[in-house]
This record gives sequence, structure tokens and C-alpha cells, in this order.
Amino acid sequence: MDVSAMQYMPAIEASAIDELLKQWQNTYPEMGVLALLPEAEKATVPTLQQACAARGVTLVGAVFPALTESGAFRSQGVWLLRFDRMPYAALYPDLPRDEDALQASLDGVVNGLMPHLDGDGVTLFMLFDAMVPNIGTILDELYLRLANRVRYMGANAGSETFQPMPCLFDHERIVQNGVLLMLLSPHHGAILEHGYGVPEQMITATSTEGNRILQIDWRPAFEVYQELARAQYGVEIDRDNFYQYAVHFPFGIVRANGVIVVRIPVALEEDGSLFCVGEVPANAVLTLLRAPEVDSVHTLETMVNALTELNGPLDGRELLVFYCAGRRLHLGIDAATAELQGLQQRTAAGRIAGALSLGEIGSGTQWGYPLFHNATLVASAWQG
Amino acid sequence: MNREHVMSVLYDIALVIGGETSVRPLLTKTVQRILYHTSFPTGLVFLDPPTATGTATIEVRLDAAVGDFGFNRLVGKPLNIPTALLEGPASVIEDPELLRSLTDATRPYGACLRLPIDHEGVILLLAPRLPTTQLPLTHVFQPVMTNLAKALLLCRHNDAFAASLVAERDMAEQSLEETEEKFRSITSVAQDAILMIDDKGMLAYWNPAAERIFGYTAAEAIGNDAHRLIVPERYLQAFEKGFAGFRQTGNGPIIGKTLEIEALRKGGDEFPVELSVSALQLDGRWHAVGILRDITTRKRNGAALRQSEASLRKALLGTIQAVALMVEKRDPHTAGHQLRTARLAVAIAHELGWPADRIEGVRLSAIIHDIGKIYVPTEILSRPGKLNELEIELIRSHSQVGFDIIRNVAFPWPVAQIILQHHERFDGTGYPNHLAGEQIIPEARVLAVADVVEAMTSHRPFRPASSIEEALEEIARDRGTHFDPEVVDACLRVFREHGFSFEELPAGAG
Repeated sequence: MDVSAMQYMPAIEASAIDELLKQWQNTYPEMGVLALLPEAEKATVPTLQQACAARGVTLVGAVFPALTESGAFRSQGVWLLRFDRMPYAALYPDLPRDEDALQASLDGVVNGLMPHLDGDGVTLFMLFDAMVPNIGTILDELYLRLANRVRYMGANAGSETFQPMPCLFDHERIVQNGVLLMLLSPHHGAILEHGYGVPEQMITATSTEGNRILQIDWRPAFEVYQELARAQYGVEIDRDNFYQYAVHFPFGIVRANGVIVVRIPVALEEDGSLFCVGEVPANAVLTLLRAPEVDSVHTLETMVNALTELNGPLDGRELLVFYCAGRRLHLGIDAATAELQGLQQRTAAGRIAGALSLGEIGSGTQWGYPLFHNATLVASAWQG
Repeated sequence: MNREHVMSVLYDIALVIGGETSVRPLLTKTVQRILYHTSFPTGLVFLDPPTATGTATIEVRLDAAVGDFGFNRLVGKPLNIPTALLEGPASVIEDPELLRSLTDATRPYGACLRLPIDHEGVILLLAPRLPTTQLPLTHVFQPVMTNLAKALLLCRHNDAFAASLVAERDMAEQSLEETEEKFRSITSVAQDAILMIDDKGMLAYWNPAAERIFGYTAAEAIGNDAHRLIVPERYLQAFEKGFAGFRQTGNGPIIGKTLEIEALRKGGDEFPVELSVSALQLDGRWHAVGILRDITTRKRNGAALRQSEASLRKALLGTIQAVALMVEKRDPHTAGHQLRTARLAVAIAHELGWPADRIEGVRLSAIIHDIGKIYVPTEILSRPGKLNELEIELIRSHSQVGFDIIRNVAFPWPVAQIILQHHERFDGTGYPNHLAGEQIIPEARVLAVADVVEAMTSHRPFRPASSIEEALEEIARDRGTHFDPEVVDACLRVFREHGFSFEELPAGAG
């Protein structure tokens, strides 16, 4: 009997799910399930909820653009990840944007978490709806309140078209504009890498609203974006080919440690403003990145080394990976698949479950400041 | 990293520093931003450290902490920090042994970046090991720290100013609360209804006594048209007319006055109230404050009292008249004299324009003015022919005797004085006290004229009756000597212009 804590089911059938839950429950009576669904299977959420309810199994989950399985991207099926003992989990829909309301809401979130923070080795695992526009601010506020009581990891769920969609669920609800929080313990945290280099020329986002860049260098954002792409990379971007090219030319927010935070523009508004995944602070100094600057080999080596340092040898271990949907577009399907397969080979992991994500949360080191990124890989051991 | 990259980082941190106006968020957000850029996980800020103590540790207040919950909970408290960490220029300290002396830390630290904030304090960034960076961290943040020092000064001033404003506001709010509490206490224990009407005529205040008196709760009353709620329909037009002017000027026909009026209870019953209204300006708009007292009981008691007084007075008058009649019975020649005199005296008083109440005093006095004759023997009163001196003196004593009889009876008029003075003469030739002019009370001057005219026109045992005209000529002759000229003139007008006649009460009839 396969009692692996990670099961990919290529077809979602109630009877098969029930059989799996039954097997798991025999060995782990206090178990719970995290389900990762691809967008194409979002209609099956009630099937999962009913199956878990019938077995009295606690369920949480999220809908992503696609799943990753066996070094490939899948748009069908479901990953069912077993918690041997269901940890604390909380689903918060409709996070406020107003600063005062957000502060009050996060006070409530932290009050819910605090009683469950016993001992070292706790990771706060966060799955956000990608449409939440202030994830960076929320991370800053959580770090102020929780500090190093937890490690931070997470990813964004939702539709790759960036259309609003309920994408976070538990045993009875499916919600949007929220966050699903889980406390993994014992757990050693996650490693986040992207491997983007830092180009020479800098620009300034002189007018922003959350995750929308209105102006760059005091001019309409898209106009400057077009000029930069032309001047730096010889690429003509217009309204017609924006969606084809933009993912290849993301913005980078430069940090003092030489590591940039990537922001992929995913929509072009009528007024020439650019809509990104993740906040861009007003007057943030940006740079324009391009695909060839991703160093996949370095990215994978750094990640595997850091994961090994955290968890010990990874041979046969079960890993959880979130791979940025923008990065896949950026690199192209072949290079992205090669990265997934490279990760599998380098880790010799027993099983790697994962999903294509719309933004990632983590830090470059196991104790670093938690950041919200685009275009990265986030990897962690599934259980400590 | 090239120069442009470094500048972009400094620019970013400088923007964060420039965006804050209060010390606590300034420190927290600046440290957060530096952590974001450097990958140090923990930042501590100590302001105003003591200088050059020469000791191994320094006690210093922790003003901000990010990233280590062991320090987070100690913000605002003094900590003992190694002097080697706090003192000195910007530098990287990789000394795990020294950093282990940070006993409040919740994870081991192996590296520290010290960033002095000029002379204002110091930032310590802590990490298990020094994060990778190409930047000369000890130099690159120095201009930002200078900026931070200046921003700190501004924020401290701003915080002090804000704190003083808050203190003033708190004091004002406390004072206001106390005043409101007193007002609530006074108005809630008041027995009278207290209500306030805004410039649109809507009730804005309604105290517990108003609830009790009118039957509407505050929730039912407030916000409703005051006049339509408690004013009887017959007064509505006048009230609304007066209120139209009031809302513009704060003045109106009932402002500053107290009046008795009827009001409406819930259910439509009318009841009497004493109403006093004042004007009050709030936010530039005129409000009317009304105090209403339910005077139903007072009115009822007042009416009963008046009725009782009237009954008593009627009984008293009946008694006195009975006595006066008894006197007249002893002298059949003067029967009816007092009633007829009273009638003329009342007519003269009317002519003089006296108020009704005063005229009533004249009438009553006249009815009994000869009551003192009860002490004069009947044979003297009724004997024809001339009387001797003794007999005249005896008769003349009747005004003093009448005064003595009546003076202890509590009349609301000077009845005893009128009786005493009705034989005094304007020129001082009268009796018993030879009073003159203004010394004689006006009622007695009226009675004197009426008494003489009636006596002259009536039959007496010692002389025949004169005609009215003869009597009038007589008093006209004595105008200004025996009699008050104004009274004489009034008497003449009463007869000659208004056709007064004693006929209704013929001489000798009573």
C-alpha cells in the first residue's frame, strides 16, 4: 500500500478519493488534506469537499493555473497532500485594503495564530488569492507582529488570465480575495530563488497605486516601457503584442544585497498604466529585466544546496514546489520543464508535488526578511 | 552593484524616512526597509544612549525592534547592551561571543551591522551570519543615517506637539463631559419639562420630566415638530407665526416671558402649563428652550380657594349688611341711605376711571359707612328738630365707632379708613381728625360727596328733601372747599351727562 503523503490523481473520482482517504485514515486518524487543483478542474471542489466531509477529514485547498508533477506541467487531476496530523489552518476571505481595517484584520489573524505557536520549527504557509493587491504590505505587517516566531513561505492561487475567481477553499467554502493560512510544524521553511541578474539602467515608478504603475520617470508607464524594451533589447512592444512580450520583460525592484524582486506586468490599462502581480511602492526604483538573464543552473544549484542545508539529504524526500506561471511564460515551456526536471534530478526527491503559482512568498535565506516575489521557484520539504 | 544601483537603494530608504511624521513609525519603517534591502532579519534601535560610560555594558532604552520577538516585547524598556556594540562608528561586527550577551535574543546571532544615527542613537542589524552583499555597508548608509537623525528631531517635535494637542483635547473633552453630566443630572431630576426646539421647529431635547408630563418618550418626541406635538390647534397659527420670526432673529412674542397656557398630552388631553421660553444660539442657529410646569393641581386648588374666599366674603358681607340694615331700621328716616349712597359712589368711581376691584371696595364701604350709628340712641337719630352740642358730638362719633367695629375685619380694601374719613372735608373742616386734601384717602372723598348728595335728596326729620339740582348746586359751591374738585366734577357729570338716578332704589325703601 502506498502511504506516501503526496498523491497525484489524474482523474477526480469520488470513489478513488474516498478509497485514498480511507487508507490514510487507517494509519493517520488525525490527518487532514491540502488539495492543489488546476484551474481546469475548479468545478470539482464540491466533490473534494463532499468526499472529505463523508470521512470527517479536514480539507483545505487552492486552485492554481496548473499543477507540476513528475517534472511536467499538468492541467488535469489533483494533488492531495496529507498532513499526518491536521495543523492549525484558517481561511480569511475578502482581506481589506483600507489601512485601518487591514490593521484590525491582521490583529485578528495573529490572535488566531498565537495560541498555536509552540516551540521552534514552525512555518507559516500562506496561500493568497493573486488578486489581493497588497500582499507585500500584509507580509510587512505580519513580520512586525510575528517576527521570527515562524518562518514564512507561500504562493498565490487564482487564474492565469488574472480574472477574479474564487480559488481558496476549505471543507465547506470556496472564497476569493483572501488568504489560507497553515502552521506547518515541525518544518524548516522554504527556499526561494529566481536567478535574475541586475541590468545597468534604472527607471523610477513615479506614480503607483498598489500593484498598478501609472507613471515611469514622470511619463505614462507604457510609453516608457516601450522605449526601454526598444532601446535595451531591440523589441517593439505595442498594445497588440503586449501580452505576448510583457512576461519576457518584467520589472525588477533593486535591493541593496544585489538581489532583485521581480514584478511581472500582466495587464495594460486603457490609460497606459501597467498592472503587476504584487505591489510596487510609489517612487520605487525599477529596472527592466529580460528572459536570457535568468541563470537556471545557478538557480537550481543555489536552491538545492539551501534545501539540503535546511533539511539534510533530500534523497527520497517529499518536496513541495511552486513554480511561477510568469517564469514559465518567460522561459518558455521547454526551459521551464527542464528546470522542473533539473530540480527532480538534483534533489533525487521521492516525490515533488507542486503548482504553477501567480506570485511567491519566501526569503533568499532561511532567516531573511519575507518578501513577495514574482518569477521564482519556492521549494520546501513537505513535512519536517 | 554600480553607483546607480546604490543610489536607487538610498533613494528608496530616504523616501521612507521622508514619509513619516512620528518617531515610532519612522524607526519601524526605516528599519523594515533596511532589512528588506540587506537581508538582515533583525533590527534594533536605541535612541539617546549615554556617552562614554567606560563600562562593559550600557543601560539603554530599546526604541524599536523588528524581526526578533524576544526584543519586540521589550520595546520601550531599558536593556543592558554591550558597550562594544553600541559605541563607535558604523562597522560590521562578526563576534558570536559578544552577540551571545544579547540574552533577550530568540535566535543565535553571529553578525551585526552598527549604524550610528549621528548623535541621536544607533541601529543594530543582526543576522546569524553576514548576508552576502557587494555593498560597503558601513559607508553606504551614512547619508541616510544623517537624514534619519534630522527626521527624528522633526518627528520628536511633532510628537510633542501632537501630544500637547491630545492633552488639550482630552482636557476639553473631560470638561465637556463633566458639563454634560451636570446638565444631564440637572435636567433629568428636574420636575419641570425641559425641551429644546431647533430652528426648523423640531424637538432636539426632551428631558425625563417631559416624558412623564406629556407621555411621549424622548425617542418618540425628538426629531418631531414640537408645535404639532404639544400645542393645541387653536394656538398653532400664532405659534408658527411667532416662530418664523424667531428662527431669523432669536426674538419672538413669548421669548423671555412666562405665561400660562394649555398644552396637549399624548392622547390629545389638554392641560394647563406655565411656560417660560428662552432663546439659545447653537452653531449659528437659533434654538428655543422651553420650561413647562404642569399647573393642573395649582389651577384646581386656586379655583377652589377663590371660591372659598368668595363664599366667606359673601357671608361676611351678608353679616355686615344685616348689621347695617339693623342700624337703618333704628332710624326709618334714613332707611336705604347706605345702599343709595353706595350706588352713587360706585357711579362716581366709574366716572373717575377707577379699576373694578377698587370700585368694589368703595361699594362695600358705602354700604356700611354708617354702621357706627349703632351706638347712637334711636331717639336722637329719629327726633326732628335741632340737636344740642352733646347730641351732635354723639352723632359725629359714628365714623370713629364704625372704624373701631370694622378695623379688625380683614378686607382687601381700606374699608375701616374709608368709614373713618367719610366726614372729613377737603379743606380740613371735617371730623373726626380734621384731615385735608391728600391726607384723606380718595375713596373717602368719593364717599363724602355721594353721602351728602344722597342725604340732601332724602327726607330727614329736621328738614325737607332738596331736589337733585339743589343738591348738585350745593356740592358745586363747596367744590374745592369741602369736596375734592375732581370728585365733584365727576358727580356732576354722572347726573347731568349720564342721567344718574336714585329711582331704582327709592328713598325710604330700605
